[in-house]
Amino acid sequence: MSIEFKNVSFRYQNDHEVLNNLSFVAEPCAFHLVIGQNGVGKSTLLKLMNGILKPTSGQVFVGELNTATHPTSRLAAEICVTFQNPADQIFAPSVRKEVTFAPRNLRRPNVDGLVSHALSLCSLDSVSSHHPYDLPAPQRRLLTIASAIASGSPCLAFDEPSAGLSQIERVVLERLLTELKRDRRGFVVVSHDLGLFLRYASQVLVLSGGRNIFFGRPEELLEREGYLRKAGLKLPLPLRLQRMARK
Amino acid sequence: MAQHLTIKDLSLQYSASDPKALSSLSLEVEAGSCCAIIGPTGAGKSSLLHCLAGTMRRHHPESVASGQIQIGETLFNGLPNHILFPIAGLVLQDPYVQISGVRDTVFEEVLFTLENLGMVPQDPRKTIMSLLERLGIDHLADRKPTSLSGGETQRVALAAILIAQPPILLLDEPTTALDSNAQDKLRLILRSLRGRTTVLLTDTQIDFALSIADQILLLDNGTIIFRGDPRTLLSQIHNFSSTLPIESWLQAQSFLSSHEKLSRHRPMIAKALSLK
Repeated sequence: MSIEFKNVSFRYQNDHEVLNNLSFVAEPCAFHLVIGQNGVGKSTLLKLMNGILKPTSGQVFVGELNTATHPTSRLAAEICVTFQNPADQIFAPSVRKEVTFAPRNLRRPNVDGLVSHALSLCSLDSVSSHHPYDLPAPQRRLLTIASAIASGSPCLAFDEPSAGLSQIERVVLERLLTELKRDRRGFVVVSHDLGLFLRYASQVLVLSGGRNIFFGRPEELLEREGYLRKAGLKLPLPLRLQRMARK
Repeated sequence: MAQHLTIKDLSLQYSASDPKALSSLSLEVEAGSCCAIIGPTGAGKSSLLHCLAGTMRRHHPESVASGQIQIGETLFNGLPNHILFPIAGLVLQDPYVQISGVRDTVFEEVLFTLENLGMVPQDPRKTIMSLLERLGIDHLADRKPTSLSGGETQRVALAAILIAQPPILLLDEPTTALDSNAQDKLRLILRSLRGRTTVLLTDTQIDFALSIADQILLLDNGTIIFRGDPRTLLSQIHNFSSTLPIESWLQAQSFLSSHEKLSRHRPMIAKALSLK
C-alpha cells in the first residue's frame, strides 16, 4: 500500500501555511525517513497521513483511500501513527490495555497474539500490568510504538521515536525495527537522529519551507550536504570524520 | 552571581519502601562551570535535578532523603522544602508540562516568568526578543505557545527559565527535540553563561554533553560510575558500551585507527564534535 501526496498544502486555522504544494509517493514496504528543521511541518505531515488533519488543498491517498473522505478509524487499519508527545495519545489505565485498544477496535483476528508480540518486541512484557504513567518517559515512548505495532496496520509512522531514549531503549528500538522490516512492514519515521535511522532508510524526504526539497536514497542525500544543512542536521559522526579525512 | 554547588552523601528514596533512586552521591560543581549528567533510564539523572530545584519534596512529599546540599552559602540538610526558583531554574524534561498555557503568545509566556517574579525590566520587549533571537525563535514571538512543534516548544520552555537568569541552571534533557541548528544555538548560549551561571544538564545522548561540559557525571542505578572531563570519558568510553549510546564513537575510533594518516590527528574527533 503506497501513500501519495498530491499537491498538498496545509494551513492551521488562522495561522501560517505549513506545507505548500507538496507531492511525493511513499512506496509500500519501504522505510521513509522524514527530516527537516524544527517547525517545518514534519509532524503535520504524519497527521495528514492518517487523516487527523485534512489538506487545505490537494489530496492525500493511503492506498486507494482519499484521507479527506475516509474516517481516521478506516485509515488506521492501513497506517498507524505515533505522536511526538506520548502524553497526547496514551489514555488506558494499563500498558496491556493501551496496546490492546488498536487491534480490538480494528477487529483484528488474534488480538492477544498481536498484543503479546508487540509487548515482547518493545520489551514491555514485564510491565504490562503497570499504569503507563508509572513508567519512565522512554518506556512510555516504547509503549506508543508497541500500540502501533499491535494495530497490525501494514504501515507504521513514528514521530521522533528515539527522542529521549537511553541506550537501553535504543537497543530495543533497533531490534524491533530490524524485525519489522523483515516482516515487510512499511515505515514513515520523522527524526533528527540520522545516526540511528539512516541505515534503515530506503528513502529520505527532506522538508524545507513547506516543500520537499529532496526525496531520494540516503546515499544520494549524503553526497549533497547542502540539503542536510537546510534540514538543520549534521552528518553522523563517523561519516563526518570520513569527509574530513578525504579533504 | 554564579553559585558553587556541593552535594554530600545524598541518598533518595521516592518512598520508604522504594529502592534508592540516588545512593550516597557526592559532587562538587564549581561556580560558573557546566556539569553534564549522563546515563541510562532510571539512573537518577532527573531525580538529582529535582532534588536541587526543590521540586522533589514538593511533588513527592513521601520521599526520604539524607545527606546535604549546599548552594552558595545556603546549606540544606536533606532536601530543600521549597522550590528554589529563581535561585535554581529547572527546565523540565517535558516542555509541554512546563509551558503554562495561560498566555496567548510566546512573548507573553516568557514575560509571565518575569511578572511572577516581580522582575519585569523597563523594556521587557527588548530583553525577551533578544533571548528569543538567540534561541532562534524570535519569529514565533506572536504565535500561540501551544501551537508549536516539539522542537519549538522545547525552546520556549528554555526561554521561560533562561529569562530569569537563575545563578543555578538545571536542564533536564534540553536537546531531545532540537535539530542540529537549534542545538548549536543552545550551545552558544550555555557557553556565554560560563563563569556567570552554574549549569547542570542531563542527556541520554552524549554528543551534546561532551561538547559543553567541564565535568561529566555518569550515573547508573543512582551511583556515580564515572566522573571526569569529556576527554577522560572519551579515552575510557569503550568501558561504557552497555550504558551509553556510543556506537558512533566506537565506529569513529575504529575508523581513525584504520587510517594511519588520521590516527595522528585524533583531535579531529574533538573538532568533528565541536568539543571545546
